[in-house]
Amino acid sequence: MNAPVNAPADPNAPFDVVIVGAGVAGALAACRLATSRPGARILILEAGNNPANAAERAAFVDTYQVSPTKSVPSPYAELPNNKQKFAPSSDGVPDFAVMNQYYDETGPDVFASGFQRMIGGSTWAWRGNTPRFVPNDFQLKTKYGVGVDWPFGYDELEPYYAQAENELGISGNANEWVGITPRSGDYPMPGMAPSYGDELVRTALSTIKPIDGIPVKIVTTPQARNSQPYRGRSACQGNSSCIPVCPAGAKYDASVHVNKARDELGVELRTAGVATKIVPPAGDGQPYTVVYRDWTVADPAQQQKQLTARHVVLALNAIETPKLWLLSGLDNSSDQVGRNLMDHHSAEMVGLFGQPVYPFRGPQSALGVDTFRDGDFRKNNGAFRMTIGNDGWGRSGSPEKTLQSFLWDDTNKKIKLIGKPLQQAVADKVTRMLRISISTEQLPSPDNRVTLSDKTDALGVPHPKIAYKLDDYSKRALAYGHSVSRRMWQHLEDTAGATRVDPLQPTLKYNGAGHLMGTMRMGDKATAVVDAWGNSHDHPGIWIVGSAVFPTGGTANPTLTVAALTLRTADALAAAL
Amino acid sequence: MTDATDFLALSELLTGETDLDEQLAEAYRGRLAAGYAQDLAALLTAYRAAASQGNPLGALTTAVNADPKLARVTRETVTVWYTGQFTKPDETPDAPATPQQYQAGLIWQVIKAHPLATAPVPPAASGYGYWTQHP
Repeated sequence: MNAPVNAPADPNAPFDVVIVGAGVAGALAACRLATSRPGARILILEAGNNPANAAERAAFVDTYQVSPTKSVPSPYAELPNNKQKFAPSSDGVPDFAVMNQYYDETGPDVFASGFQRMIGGSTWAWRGNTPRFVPNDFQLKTKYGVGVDWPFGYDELEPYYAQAENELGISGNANEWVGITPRSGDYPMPGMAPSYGDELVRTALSTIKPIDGIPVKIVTTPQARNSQPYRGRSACQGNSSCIPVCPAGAKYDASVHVNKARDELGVELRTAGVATKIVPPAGDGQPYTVVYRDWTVADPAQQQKQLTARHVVLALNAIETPKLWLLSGLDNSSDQVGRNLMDHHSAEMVGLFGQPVYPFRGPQSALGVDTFRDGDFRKNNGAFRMTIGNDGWGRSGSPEKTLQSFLWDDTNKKIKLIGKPLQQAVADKVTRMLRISISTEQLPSPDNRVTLSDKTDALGVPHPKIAYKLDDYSKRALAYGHSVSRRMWQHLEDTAGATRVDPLQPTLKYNGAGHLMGTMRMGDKATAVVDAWGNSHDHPGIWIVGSAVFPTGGTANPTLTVAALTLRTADALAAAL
Repeated sequence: MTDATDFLALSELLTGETDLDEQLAEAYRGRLAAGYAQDLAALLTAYRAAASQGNPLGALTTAVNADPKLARVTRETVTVWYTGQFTKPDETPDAPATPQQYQAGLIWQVIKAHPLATAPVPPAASGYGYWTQHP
């Protein structure tokens, strides 16, 4: 099944489409194109070289469990593109000194989100949350006078959202989304079962009054995580390690569509190939050339190879796509390539619930609050999604940290508790740990920008250089999110015995959400890189998929919108073939 | 009594458990000894003295807190049993030697959960939705 079925008479003939990047966008584009144009010759070029099978998944789990840090990239650290820095992934550690291993950050603020360069891309490590954007996310300028509008509205994307939900396999409860995100149909499977503790928190919050007139409505977060067997993958087994790796494969990752494209649809997959240059056609009727380095070849002088294609789809991500564009010296008539880099800034408010909620059993989160994702306040500050965690204090404190706090007096270098009393202290605290998190909206800014660094990787390819600054609108989103979280926790203190709430004052500290967006934005030719279909304004054979094309970042995790946009762009490209 | 059996008994006193795995104990004794050889020997001596006292846990706590080096190796011994990992004298982590050592960490059973990335299996409550129930 692995031989390309669409082999041409002339092996040197240009491919119809070369897709650069085997993440969710590239893999979905490949499947869609190959399905609607069965005779087309399609190739995916991928910088990583990992097998995407059960044995590799098990190896990732082993690597994770023996990792001393258990960081997000830890399961994938042994892949040679990372370890030998042929095509390094960024680590997403929000610290200049550590992050600088890949990003060359010039500040003044930290861009704190990373990604994985591998077959399947960052979906290996994602949580799997897949809410849709709300309708007003597409018309921020018209409705609230900030940011920019998308070139089309929610209604245009709705059918593609529904298709994307079926492709990825989204669990969700449609009836909970009435009035938030209109839907033409149901989810392909029921929403994830919330945990024992989730239900305690939901019950406690059921009596809270609206905050600033907005109801605190708890909804089941749509997730690309199976609540029942779906297309050959099992239901969630509750490994409680969605980030950074799902041992069961019940969480969608893009290896699903990479394997489908290669094994069932005749798409060729070429791995360990790091694209270094896209060359436009030499003349009318000529193909594009994709130059790449094959890092499995030992002799650097022999590593450079090339492909030709009538159409090139760039599906790297919002960091690597503009990097490749700039490296290639492609036209940039709007001057927007690499600009408008965005993320969602997340922050946690933690505390102890009045009774055990027993975290670390089941998905890391199942419930959230999506009513603060829209409202007139968006004229003044960014909106936000809220998550009710099922993973203790999340990034604010691990069970291991709690253990140390009861075991060790670091000031006096003495043992505090051992034996059963230590067990009891740890159990009493950790089982009551709860986080409520916000993930806030950021406006596009042309000064938040990806350019080329002087630093290079093992292949001599420049690292991305990132300039990044939080604007006041985005900072106010963090502050307002803190205010709403604080009032929710106050209710839990008043009615459910909650204690130890932290932080009591807004700190404006944030984590990255891993949502790289906005550097190849969609819009008209004067102000954007691609048109409403993802087609380059300057180079008509180049198409861009992924969250790089987002004009604004919206108020939801981007992957479902990435998937929907990709299907839409693939349809436009199929029509052009 | 040998160091091996005494380390196992010491570990049970420190953790409050009664049925710790002998092979795991040997693996942890070896890992700790690589960085804390003298301190570990001194801890075993302190344990032997405390074990005959009326309140071994209290006696041992008093003894180890009289010497920062003993306190430190006590901390790391408890930590490796709870997490499969400890901190070496140079403050770098000594990661679990195997996934099984990580999975054996006591902290997960103490908080009535399971090691991350190792879902519970029968006869424990397991499979889709086990998390909806009180543990």
